[in-house]
Amino acid sequence: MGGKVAEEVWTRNAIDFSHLRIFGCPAYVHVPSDERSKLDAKSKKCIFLGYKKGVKGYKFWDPVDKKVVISRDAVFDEQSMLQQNQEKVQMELEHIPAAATLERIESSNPASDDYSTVHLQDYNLARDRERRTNVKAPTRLGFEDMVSFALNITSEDPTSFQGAITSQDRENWIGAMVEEMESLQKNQTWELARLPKGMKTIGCKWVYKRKLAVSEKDEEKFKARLVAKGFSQKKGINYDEIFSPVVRHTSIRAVLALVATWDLHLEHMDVKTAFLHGDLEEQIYMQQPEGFSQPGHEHLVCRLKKSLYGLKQSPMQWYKRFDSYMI
Amino acid sequence: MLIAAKNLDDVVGLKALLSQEFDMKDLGAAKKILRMEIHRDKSSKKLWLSQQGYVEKVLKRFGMSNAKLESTPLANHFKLSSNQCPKTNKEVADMTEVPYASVVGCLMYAMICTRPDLAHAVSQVSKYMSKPGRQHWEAIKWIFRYLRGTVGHCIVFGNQQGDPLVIGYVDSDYTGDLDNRRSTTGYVFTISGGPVCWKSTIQSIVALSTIEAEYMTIVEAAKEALWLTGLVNKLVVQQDGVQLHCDSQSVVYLAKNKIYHARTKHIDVRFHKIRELIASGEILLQKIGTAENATDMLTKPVTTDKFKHCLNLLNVYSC
Repeated sequence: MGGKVAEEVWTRNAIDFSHLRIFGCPAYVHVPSDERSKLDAKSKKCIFLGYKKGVKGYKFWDPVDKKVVISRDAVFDEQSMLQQNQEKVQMELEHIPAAATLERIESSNPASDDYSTVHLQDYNLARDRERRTNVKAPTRLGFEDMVSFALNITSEDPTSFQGAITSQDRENWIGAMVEEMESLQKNQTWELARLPKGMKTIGCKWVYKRKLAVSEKDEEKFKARLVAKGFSQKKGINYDEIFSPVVRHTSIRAVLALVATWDLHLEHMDVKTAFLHGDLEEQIYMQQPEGFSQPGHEHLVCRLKKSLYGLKQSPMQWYKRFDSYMI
Repeated sequence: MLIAAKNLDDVVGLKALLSQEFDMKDLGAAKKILRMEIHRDKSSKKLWLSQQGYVEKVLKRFGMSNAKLESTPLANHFKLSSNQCPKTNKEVADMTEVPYASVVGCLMYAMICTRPDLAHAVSQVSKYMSKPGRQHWEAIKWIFRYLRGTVGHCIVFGNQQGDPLVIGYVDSDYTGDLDNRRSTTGYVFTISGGPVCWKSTIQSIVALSTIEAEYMTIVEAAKEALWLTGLVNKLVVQQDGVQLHCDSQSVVYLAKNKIYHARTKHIDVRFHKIRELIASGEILLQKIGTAENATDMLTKPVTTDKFKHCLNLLNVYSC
C-alpha cells in the first residue's frame, strides 16, 4: 500500500482530506435567512460532532436549543482547540491541581472567543470555497467499448461505421455504402463547400440493415443508408415548416371499394429513395460522411441541395415535389 | 403508390411519365399496401382486403398462436372499469410484467386497417393503458382468442348493383362507460357493400338522455359523412345526399322537426348543425330496425349470433 489509503490505491485518485475537522471543536453555523429575523445573529455557536451518513454536511450540537443541526455552511474554530490542547499538555507536564486547571481553561475561553470573532471578520466564503478542479470526464473508451465491439462482430446489424468495417461482413457493408454514395452523387444531393462564418454543420451517420432473401435464389441483401442527424437542426435556421400530409386508411379503402365495383385496373408502384427527390429551400451544411470524405478536401463540408433521410423537412419537401409534379 | 384506371393504356402512360421524373420501381398488379393483402376476383367483381399475415405475426409474438377460440371480441361479463386498476404495490409490480401497451398498439393497428369488428373491444381496453389491472389483461387475452379464430377475416368490397354509394349506420350506447357515465358513439360507413370508415369511442361529454347520446353520435357521423362524400365526389361519383341510418325513432323526429323542445335546450349547437345538413339535403336521415343496424357491435358487447349478423351486414368475413 505504500502508506496510502485503500481507496487511493484502488481508484488512483488522490484522496481529499480537506473536510476533516477536529471532533468537538466549536463552529459557527450559518442560520438560513428564513429562520432568523433581521436583528438576529447570522450564525450560532455549535459543537462539531461528526459527519452524517448519506448527507453532504457536518453534524453539530446546538447547546442553546439542545438539538443536533446538520449544515454545510459553517466556520470552524480549530485554533482554539489547538490552544487548549497545548495548554493541556503543559498542565500535564506541570502537574497543576484540578481546581487550577478549571480556572485556567475558563480564563482561556474569552481569549479564544476573541480570536474567533476576528477570524470571522476576515472570513470570505467565496474565497475559501473549494474549487471543483478535480472533476474528471467519464472513461468512455474502457471496458464497455470492448462489450460493444463484441456485440458488433456478432451477426446483428452494425450500429456504426466502426462496427460495420470491423464486422465479419465488412466486404458486403462497404459495398452497400459505396452503392449508396454513388446514388447520392448521381442525384447531386450535395456539393462540397467552405463553411461560411457563423454557420454550423449537422452530423450524419450510416444506418445498416440486412434484408432477408425473398426467395431461395436471391441472397441476403445488405443495405446502407446515409442519414442526417436531424435532431441537431435549429428551428428558424435550418428548418421552418415541416408538416407533411399522410394518407388516411379510409381513403385507401374508399379507392379499393370503387376499384371493386367499377372493375378498374389496379397497379402498384414504389419510388426508390423517395426523400432524395425533394429540393431543399434552406441552407444546410452537413459534415462529410464517415469513411467517404474527399481526399484533400477534408476541411470542406457538404452543402445540401436535395433533402436527405433524417432531415426534419424531408417528408414535406418530397410531398411538395410530388404534388407540384402531379398537378 | 396505387394507380387505378379504367383503361390499361392510361396506367401504362402514367407509369412511364412517373418513371421519367422519379426513380420508380414497378411492382405490377397491387398485391399489398401498407401490409394489407389485396385479393381480387374480376369475374365476380369482388375485392378482399385482409391482414392475415400481420395478425398471425402478432399472435405469434405474444405467444397466443395456440390459444383456444372465442366467437366474440369482448364478452358481457367483462365489466371493465377503473375500479379494477391495481391498488397495492404488489399488484402494480405484477402488472409491470405484461406488455399491455404494446399489445394494445398491435390490436389497434389491426383494427384501424381491416378489422371494424375489434373497434369496440380495443376502445374498451385502451382506456386503461396507464394503469392496467388483471381484469383488463384477461380481456386482452379474450380478444386474442377471438383474433385467433378469425385470422382470415377480411373486408369484402363489390358485388353490388348500381353506383357505389356511401351509406352510414349509427348507434350509441347510453352511459356505457362505468367510470364517468359517458355514452358510446359508434358509426360505420360503407361503400359498395364494404366498410371503409368506422369508429367506436366514448363521447366527450355526459349525455342526459338516450336521445342526446344518439344525437351526438349522429352529428359526429354527419361530420365524417361530409368528408367522405367530398372524397368520393372528387373521385368522379356524384352523390347528392348520404343515407344515415339510425335506429332511434325519436332522434329522427327531433332532427327533422323544427319545434323547440325545452328538454333539448342544452344540445343547442349540435342540434342546429344537423338540422341544417338535413334541410340542405346533404344528410338523409332514415329509421332502421335495431336488428338491421350493423353498428350495434361498435357500442356494446353483443351476443355471438348478433355479432355474426352484424359482420355479415358489413361484409366482413373469412373467404
